[in-house]
Amino acid sequence: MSDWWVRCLGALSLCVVCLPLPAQVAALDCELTTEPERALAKLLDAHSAISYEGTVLFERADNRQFLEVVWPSQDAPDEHRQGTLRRLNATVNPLAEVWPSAFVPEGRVCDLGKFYSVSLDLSRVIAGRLTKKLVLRPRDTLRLAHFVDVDVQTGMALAMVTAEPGGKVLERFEFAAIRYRDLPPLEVGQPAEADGGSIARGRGVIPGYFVVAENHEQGVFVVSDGWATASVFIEPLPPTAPSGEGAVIDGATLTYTRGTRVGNNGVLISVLGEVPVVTARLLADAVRSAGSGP
Amino acid sequence: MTTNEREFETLSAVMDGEADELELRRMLDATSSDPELRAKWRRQQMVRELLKTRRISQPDIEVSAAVKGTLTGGNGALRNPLWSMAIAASVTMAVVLGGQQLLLPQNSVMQGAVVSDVVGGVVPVLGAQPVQASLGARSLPVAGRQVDSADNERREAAAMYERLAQDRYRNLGRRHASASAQTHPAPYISYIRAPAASGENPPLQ
Repeated sequence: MSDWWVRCLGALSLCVVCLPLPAQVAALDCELTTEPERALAKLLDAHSAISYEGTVLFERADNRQFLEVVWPSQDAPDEHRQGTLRRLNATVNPLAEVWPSAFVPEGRVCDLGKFYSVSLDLSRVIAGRLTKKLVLRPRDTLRLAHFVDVDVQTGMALAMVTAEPGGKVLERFEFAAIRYRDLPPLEVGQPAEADGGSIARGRGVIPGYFVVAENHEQGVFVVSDGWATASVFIEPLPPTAPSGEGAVIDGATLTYTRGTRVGNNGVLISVLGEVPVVTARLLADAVRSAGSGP
Repeated sequence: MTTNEREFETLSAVMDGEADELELRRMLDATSSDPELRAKWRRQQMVRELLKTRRISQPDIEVSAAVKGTLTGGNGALRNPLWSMAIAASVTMAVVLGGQQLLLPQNSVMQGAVVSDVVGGVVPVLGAQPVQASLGARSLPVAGRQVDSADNERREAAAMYERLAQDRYRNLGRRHASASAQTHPAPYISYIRAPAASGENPPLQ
């Protein structure tokens, strides 16, 4: 990467467009009084309390995968707790891919309640476990809808459907089988402490989305509303490329690209996320030269 | 049922308009060789006319001969549904092609050089300009409509950015997955969603 481009990226930033929104909300400023809120809190915290392994079916438009998922892995090559997954219908003896634990900041359940309408729906049995359907309906057009079948006993998500606000299903997954184990007592709580410093809710960018990670040198910003995440990548645009925009959707994942001029430089902005196109556009709009102000 | 009875029954069907074309032809052949049957046909024809109009007109005109003439003449072919379809199609073609000719501006009708340079077969169609399909070539101007070059440029830019989006998804998908897994309640789903790992960039630190 040239020095010019590093300086250029340093001058760019994901500007604060939102006003003092819930960005500075103190930890857990809401009371979990309803059953859906408590079910949501239990779901968000499930990975810190249980260990499991199971087989998952994942489906989207032109793709169906069977996977073996293990949490936490005994042979993960890291001192922190990590999970593994194997794509069972991809290759013979598939290699294990490592995935990290999710970080659950305090107050996240309160934030989600501000941008999603949370409710509980019918029960059903999945993988031999009784579940209740937790429904997260977006309160605005900037996010997708989520239908989660939550294990009544453990709080684990045993099935999930991601859909457009209009109801069109984008993707789904479901456990065909799951086996729980106890977590060794010493490991409980370790991931949150280990990862807590790297993921923290930062400034608001567009309504409900906060910066949770940024790397100015690489031109990468990550925003989240507590459930959906979008990554914003900024790269140089070839000099001869015209301005324009384009997008592709794969399941729930949208990839949006925009070529534009920021100051005198051509910039390619790519937004990847489980968000609607309107959100990706707003995020691309939020990329401005640091000197130009919000 | 005797042969005569069957013929009389067929004759009644012909008179009532309920006989098919084959029965009609057989009846006409039969009347030409059987005077009794022909006389019966004439009588029935007269009775019908009398009942219908209360008078008998032109009693000397033999209806069967007129009918046979119609069937054996050129008009008979029109009754065949296949011929009818063919004629209908011809009329449609004539209307469409004639319409094209009318719609085309005079100067474009006279132009003969609208065929692409690219080697290939061209099928001449009566009343239409020869047009050759070729991959990647711009569309030829349609009658009465000028192609907007700005539109084309916008379309090309949109196609370019769509390809670029596909490329960025393949190359940056794993990095996004590592970031997305940090907040999703089912973190492994972020990795399942991402395109297969190949030449990926390092995860976001």
